[in-house]
Amino acid sequence: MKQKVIVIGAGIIGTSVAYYLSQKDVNVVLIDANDIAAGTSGACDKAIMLQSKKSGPNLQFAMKSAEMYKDLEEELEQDLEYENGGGMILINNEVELNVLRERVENQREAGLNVTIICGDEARKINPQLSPKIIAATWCEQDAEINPLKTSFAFAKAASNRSMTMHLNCRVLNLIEDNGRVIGVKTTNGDIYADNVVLCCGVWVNNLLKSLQLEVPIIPRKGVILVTEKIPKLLNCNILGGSYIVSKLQEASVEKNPFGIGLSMGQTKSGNLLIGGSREFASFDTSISSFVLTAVANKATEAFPCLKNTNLIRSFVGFRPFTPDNLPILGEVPTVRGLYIAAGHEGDGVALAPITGHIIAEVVTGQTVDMDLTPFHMNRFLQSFTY
Amino acid sequence: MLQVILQVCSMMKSDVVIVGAGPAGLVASIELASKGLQVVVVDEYYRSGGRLLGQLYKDRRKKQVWAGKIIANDLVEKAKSLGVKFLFETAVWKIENKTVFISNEKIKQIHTKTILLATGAIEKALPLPGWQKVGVVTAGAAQTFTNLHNVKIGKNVIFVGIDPLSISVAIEMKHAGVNVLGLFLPAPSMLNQKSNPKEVLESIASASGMATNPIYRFGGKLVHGLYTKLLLKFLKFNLLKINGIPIYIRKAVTEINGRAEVESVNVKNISIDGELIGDGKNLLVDTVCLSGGLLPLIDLSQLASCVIVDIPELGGFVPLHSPYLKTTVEGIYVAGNITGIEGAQVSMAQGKLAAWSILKEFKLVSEKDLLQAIKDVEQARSLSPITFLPNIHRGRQIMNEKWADYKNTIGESFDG
Amino acid sequence: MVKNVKQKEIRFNFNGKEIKGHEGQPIAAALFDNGIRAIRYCDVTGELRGIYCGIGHCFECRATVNGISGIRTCLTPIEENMNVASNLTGVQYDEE
Repeated sequence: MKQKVIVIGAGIIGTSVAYYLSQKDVNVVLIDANDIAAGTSGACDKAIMLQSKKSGPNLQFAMKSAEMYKDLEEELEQDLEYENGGGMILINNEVELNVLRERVENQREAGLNVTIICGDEARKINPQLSPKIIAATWCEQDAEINPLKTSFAFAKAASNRSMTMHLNCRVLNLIEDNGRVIGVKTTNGDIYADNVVLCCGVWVNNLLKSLQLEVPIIPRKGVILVTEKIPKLLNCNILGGSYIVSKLQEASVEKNPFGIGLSMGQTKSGNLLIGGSREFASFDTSISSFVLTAVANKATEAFPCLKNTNLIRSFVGFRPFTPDNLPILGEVPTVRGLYIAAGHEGDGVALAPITGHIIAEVVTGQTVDMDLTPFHMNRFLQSFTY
Repeated sequence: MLQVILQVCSMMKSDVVIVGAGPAGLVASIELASKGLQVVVVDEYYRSGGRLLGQLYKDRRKKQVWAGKIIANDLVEKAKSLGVKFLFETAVWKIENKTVFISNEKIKQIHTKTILLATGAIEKALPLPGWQKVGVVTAGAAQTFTNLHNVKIGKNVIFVGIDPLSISVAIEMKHAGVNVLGLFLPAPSMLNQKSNPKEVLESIASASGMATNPIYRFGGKLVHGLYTKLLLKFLKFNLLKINGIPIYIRKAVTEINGRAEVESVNVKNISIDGELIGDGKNLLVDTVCLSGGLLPLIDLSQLASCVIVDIPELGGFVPLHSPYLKTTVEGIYVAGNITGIEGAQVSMAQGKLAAWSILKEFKLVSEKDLLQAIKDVEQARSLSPITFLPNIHRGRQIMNEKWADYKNTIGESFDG
Repeated sequence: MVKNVKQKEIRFNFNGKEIKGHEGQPIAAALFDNGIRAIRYCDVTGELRGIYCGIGHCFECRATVNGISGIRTCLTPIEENMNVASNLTGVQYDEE
């Protein structure tokens, strides 16, 4: 009999895992309490940014993932709005320059083709950039993709193979038998399988609870502002240097409680997606006028021409944060048959293909040619008491 | 808007900010100002009146014409004479801690003691293939352009969606000299449920009060006892006529065609259960009015962190509120279609109730006054010449129950 | 319904063409009166776009008014010498 695998969560990670599993000789069942990309993957930006990752296992994974993205449109036979336009981190002052110089050095050693360019060179790429920007990092490998389209395309391609889908179907509990997960109890009845993969990001602990397990994945609120459609303004991904500096210096939470920074991308239809903030506020979706104003300020500082651009909406996404900024990938050590692929925080879009590929290999018992130790759930076991 | 956010804020103060200058907001502004409160009314449109502006029909029960534009003008004059300030062409983009953030040339913030959200409703989308073409408008837009702006929106017009709003707009449009070829159902799809002839007839039946015309009178009978027999009789016919306008309860529009602008529609027969039958025909039209029903416009209540509940009987998601129209956020009240889809008369009575509820907070009216205002809303509801939702009474009951549950849950002496 | 003949005539400009309307009319209504229903092209598909909801919610009827983009013509009353422009500039539209 064919191996049967249940994937819980139809975000970009879950649909990717389902897709790569469906490429193998496996029966896949994808379940989501709502819809495809209805959670974090439907409330994020569109960057596949490599240089936002510090050198180490995350960057290695992201680089492999970025290679996979290059052929994905062809492979899935869908337009995913993929652009390999590069990306830059804007540098506003000497402090940021020093921090980023060291970081770029490390990233180059890790094999990423990233450099520091002067302000005028940055303005050649994005002519509307403020004259106050003194320099920028530049990485040609950075790219963009529409995460909604990608999630739907993964799901469709998987459905064309062996996958069945249960949307608007809530998983109530994992069914355990003798130390092994054998299925799930859902609002549409019980479904049995050989393996279960949890791809439900910030909601993963809801399901682990019944097994007296917990992982340190915490929702981190991120705000994104959407402008009206405007003529092409951005020729690449944009990050603000302060975003990286605040990401590196976690201790700055007191100074910048909302984690205000800048990330910008322009959609194919012309809207700008302007992030953002990083805030621990449980599942509160409210957006304060302070955050709106602060993010808008950052954007107009970088691109003064935006002063007359209308904002049409703002939204909140919950990024699955982990204390060491690495996702949790692989089997759950204490329960056989159960796997986790969650906790990507802001890297879910960038890491989706590689995550799907690796989890599919692991679940089907194949050898993986990458070291998964840094991502293993074990790393949190000592520090957590159940 | 980026600029609006960034500019140095010029601030204004008031006792009450009312968002929406429609029937609910206008009536509330008069009640509040006449008791001496400082009232600011904010509206995105360039003039006040809201949906009143487009309304023009005969009220059979009162044997008089309901001319919304004139009623609106009278209310505005009265409000202005009482010192109510109006900010037009002004959108509210955030409500936070009794501060209302607005997109106005001069004023950026209003600091206020209370806020009344009277934002009304929007029309539901009816996404048929071709609905994005020039010449496809909503029934509400058709009403505004016909009755308020005196513009003929087309020469040969059809409506897709058969409901109290589309029927009344079609009649108004015919009076204005437009050739209305008929009302059709939308093709059944995942997104719209109103393609089932049986259900459509039931919904028309619920609009019985408006009864300026035969279908509403029949409708009334449908509701009051003779239901099944008459319903079946209706469904045998493919065609009904109201004031000379054909109503095709057994035909659905499946597609809107045209190279640049609307040129024709595809029409197919539809079974009693809402299944498309046969090959269909092409009908030449230049304008299509879509009527998908109304949705309470709740965005601002969400931005203000009000608790939202889903009550289909009221038209969908609405802010949870007390019988006195208080929301779950202290100092924020609601009135009109944001609380559920009903006619202008009910909105006006709710405007008064919300105003009195606020006046009570300022200790300017008594508990007894408030109870009278509640009775007035109920009376307006029972006398309303138009009913959009068949189970509106049940919807209001559910809201009261949910409010009671909420009060119990938070365990406070919430006097709302 | 009687046309309000007392209202003042107002002239404004739409994509380089002089349009006559009445005081108190929104731009979209004045254009409608002059047989113009198409207000702009969709940037993505190149199809024509015009009035849809008429109450400012859908933004389909937006144009650049006196240099400010994204203005909803259904909400904005006409003013003398107002300049209304869209990406239809230089394109022939059918007049009825």
